[in-house]
Amino acid sequence: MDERALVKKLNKGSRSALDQAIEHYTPYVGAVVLRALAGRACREDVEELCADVFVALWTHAGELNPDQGVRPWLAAVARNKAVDWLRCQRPGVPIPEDAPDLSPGPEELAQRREQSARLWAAVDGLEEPDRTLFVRYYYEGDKLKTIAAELGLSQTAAKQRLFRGRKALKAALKGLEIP
Amino acid sequence: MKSRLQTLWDQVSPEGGPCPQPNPWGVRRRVDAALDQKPRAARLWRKLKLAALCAAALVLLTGAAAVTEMVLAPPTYNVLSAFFQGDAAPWESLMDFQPVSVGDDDYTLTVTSTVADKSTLFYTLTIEAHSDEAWEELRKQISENFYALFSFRSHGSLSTDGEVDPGSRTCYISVSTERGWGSSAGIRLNLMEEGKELRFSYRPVSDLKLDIGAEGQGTGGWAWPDMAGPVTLERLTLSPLTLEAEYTTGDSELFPVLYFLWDDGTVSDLDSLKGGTGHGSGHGANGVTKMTKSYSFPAVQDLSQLEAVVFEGMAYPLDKGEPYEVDMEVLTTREPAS
Repeated sequence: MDERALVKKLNKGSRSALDQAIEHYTPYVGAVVLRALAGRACREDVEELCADVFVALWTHAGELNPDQGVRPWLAAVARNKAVDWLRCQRPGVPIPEDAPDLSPGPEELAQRREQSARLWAAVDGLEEPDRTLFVRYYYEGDKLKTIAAELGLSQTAAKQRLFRGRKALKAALKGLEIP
Repeated sequence: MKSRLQTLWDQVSPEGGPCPQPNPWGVRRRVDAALDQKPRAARLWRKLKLAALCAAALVLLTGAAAVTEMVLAPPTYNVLSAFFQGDAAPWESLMDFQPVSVGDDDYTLTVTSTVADKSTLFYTLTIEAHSDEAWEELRKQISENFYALFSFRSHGSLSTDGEVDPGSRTCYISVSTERGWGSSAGIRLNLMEEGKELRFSYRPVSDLKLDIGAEGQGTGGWAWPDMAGPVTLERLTLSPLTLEAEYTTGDSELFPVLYFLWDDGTVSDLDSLKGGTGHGSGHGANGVTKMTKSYSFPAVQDLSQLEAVVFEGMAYPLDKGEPYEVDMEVLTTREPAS
């Protein structure tokens, strides 16, 4: 994606440019959010925060600098939104007894957040360059070819590291406890 | 969604379950909801009233009878409720309610709501007759030669439906048509004076493309239930409104046998997902035809809950992750939306 062209379209208030940004940068923004939350979030939390980031992008679309691209801006806003979210976390409001049960319950959400935090902690515990490889490939959705080139690895070596890393994560998650 | 992270999650997490990766469709829905917060029905009603006033003013200026008693479409009538089953409220952000009108002494033609994606444009119209004579002429045309009522500035197949309200001398019509290039369309009510044509623009919803590149079985569906044969499926384009397939086949009546795999583990077959409208085109030589066919869904689909499309036993994740094998025998069939 041509970031400069995208920012120029956003500058002009193009809603389709916003749609493109959402489709293209959601994995990246989600990864930044998860990193800021140390993984302690379920999908619903991350989607809500990502949506807040893109609404902010729309609100400030006219102020973006095409020369600076959009990634740094998204990352900064995503971190801020995640930190604000952590500060604002309060015990849930009791659900009325007659409310339809359409979404995961508080216990399930808590369980999902804990699972997510465990995986994140395990990935964060990998040594470099494996940690960067895993975050960029699995969380940010970057192409393996691109990541490998930037890390000075061949694609074959990167694949081997992913294979070995998955085995290490599996073993780690069997015994890992979240403090 | 079977994203890369979900794949990792499934492989290494002892508990399994959904991973925390955000789905762009889910994010998009939340963003649309935040940016289009005003109640759509109320906006439609207000704009239609405004359109009615404008039309009345136009008629007065041209010296014709006033239309102060005009009653327009009820607020709940919109393009989603016209074409799709179920509650349209969660999907109102997909629609556009910019009413555009053209009028003469006898009629006012108004496009009241639109929704579109890559393949199809859906919209609703009202025709208001300004006199009893004009109303009688309109009713006569509707009953005797409905399809000659309009000229369309669009190509491909077309389907229309409608109802009339004699009390308000208003006709409500819904139109779906194959989309061409660009994001504007035109329609002319042939009862109106020459040169009166309604041009309007629309904003297509995002779609999602899946490159498949696999051979498998095609079927004639409910129209040709005994027909079957090989197809090569090149690409699928999905939106909440329609499914479009690009494929090659020896028989243009065939369509790939597809299943939708939802993230709750249930599966839907294609026939349960085909709605009221469909269109397609093809060209070819030497007995092989390259087809592009699309079908609307019977209800707006929440693609954030769709994990993959299954073709020939392989699931193709919507996040474009690696395809994986599925055992259709063990999957539960999802109940069609009522």
